[in-house]
Amino acid sequence: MNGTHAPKTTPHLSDAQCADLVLGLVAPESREAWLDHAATCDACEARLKSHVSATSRSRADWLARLPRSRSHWRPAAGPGSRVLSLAAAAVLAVAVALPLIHPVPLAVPGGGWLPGLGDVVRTREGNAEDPALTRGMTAYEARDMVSAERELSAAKATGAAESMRRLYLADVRLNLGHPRESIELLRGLNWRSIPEPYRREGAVLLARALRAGGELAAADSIESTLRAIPPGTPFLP
Amino acid sequence: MHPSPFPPPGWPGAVARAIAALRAASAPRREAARAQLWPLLHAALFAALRSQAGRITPVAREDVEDLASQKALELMLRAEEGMWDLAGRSESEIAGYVARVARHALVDLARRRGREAPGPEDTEAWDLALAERVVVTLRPEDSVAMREFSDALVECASMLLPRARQAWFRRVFLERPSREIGTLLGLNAAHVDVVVQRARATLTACMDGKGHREHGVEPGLFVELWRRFGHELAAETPGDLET
Repeated sequence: MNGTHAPKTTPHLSDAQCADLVLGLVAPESREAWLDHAATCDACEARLKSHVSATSRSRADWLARLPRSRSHWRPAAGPGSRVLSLAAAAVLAVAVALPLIHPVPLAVPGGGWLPGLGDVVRTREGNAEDPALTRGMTAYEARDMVSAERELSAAKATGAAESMRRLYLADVRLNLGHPRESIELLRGLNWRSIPEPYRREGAVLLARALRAGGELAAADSIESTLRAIPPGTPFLP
Repeated sequence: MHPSPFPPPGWPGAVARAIAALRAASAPRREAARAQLWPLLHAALFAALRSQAGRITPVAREDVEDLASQKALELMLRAEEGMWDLAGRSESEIAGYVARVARHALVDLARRRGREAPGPEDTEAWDLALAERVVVTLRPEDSVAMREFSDALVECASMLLPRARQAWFRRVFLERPSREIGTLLGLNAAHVDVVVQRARATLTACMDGKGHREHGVEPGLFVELWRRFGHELAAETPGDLET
């Protein structure tokens, strides 16, 4: 078989034909003719093999719901590699009061951005939180995702402020095209420390990140739950 | 289904039908509709990427598979949200769109890497290189011997349990990693290695019994095995392949 002449009546296989073969879209008589040719043509066999091999990857990706990549979705150095210091524990006092002030619907007007943090980054004394957190939020509100990513990654916070920092950083990373990093941040959140309406917004964000990351059923589940419960109802993703 | 030779590709029509089904699916059936669309998009994009890759940037097999997965997901989301609407589009338009998506993905990859593949001095050189084939005529006796070897291996492989056969085929012929094979077969990576090793031992003994002392990945073997067992690769779940 090695290097023998291919039958002259059958042309070499194209990539499109290989795709049809692996997808089972070729009529039986054509399939047999094409395979007969590939069995006697080194280049066509190699081409077909690469397509069959890719379907293995495709199927594994689908089962895992996590398209793996060496170059496109690789995990970046996350906030865990940075030192988070103690700051602004009193933010809870402000944060807890927010549900009464900012009820937010499931569908967020304006492209799905999280609402501004404003008071959440202030202490009881009215001082600003870590300046990096403030700068990060300012950049977020200006939709400057690159600066927001840099500042929010470097910001130091604890307690509810830390949860909010991670929530916004997750949105930033999703907007930068890194859904896996966003999902990792959101799944590591202490959701109980996040006040409404941010918690509900965070759930919407998690659904968006899951969808972008290929976990479509999980995204569907969260969204259908959110639609089923009234906006004021506490919800833990 | 279409006759040969030179038929138009069948995948654009299949993609259009799968997208229409996904858009029409109720929530409980959406996941099944996505599962139908995913392999179509992936295979189509892989074909489009592979056919253009050498012209745009040097890429490894893993690069093309990465891009196919990434773009397949993006296209599926766009289709589901109605941002990629195929209504009224011809199959050639669909194929053209997928080809453009693939081309842009390759160009982006090249830009990210900061280098472009050196273009051929003569544009016809690429076509020549792509069309070049190794053509060496075997002696009739060699051809017969290889046919006998191929038939024997297919026969021996048919005696393996389906899961072992899948693990062995994916490892030896498709060169897939243990973790991926494990995901597909519901095994951990270490278990995959054990299954493959046992399959190799079984096949070696079987081939020895048929008078074939050595066996490896000979040209043509892949096609014959895939022709015979390829349908197993498309089994829906590991449960379909109980050993």
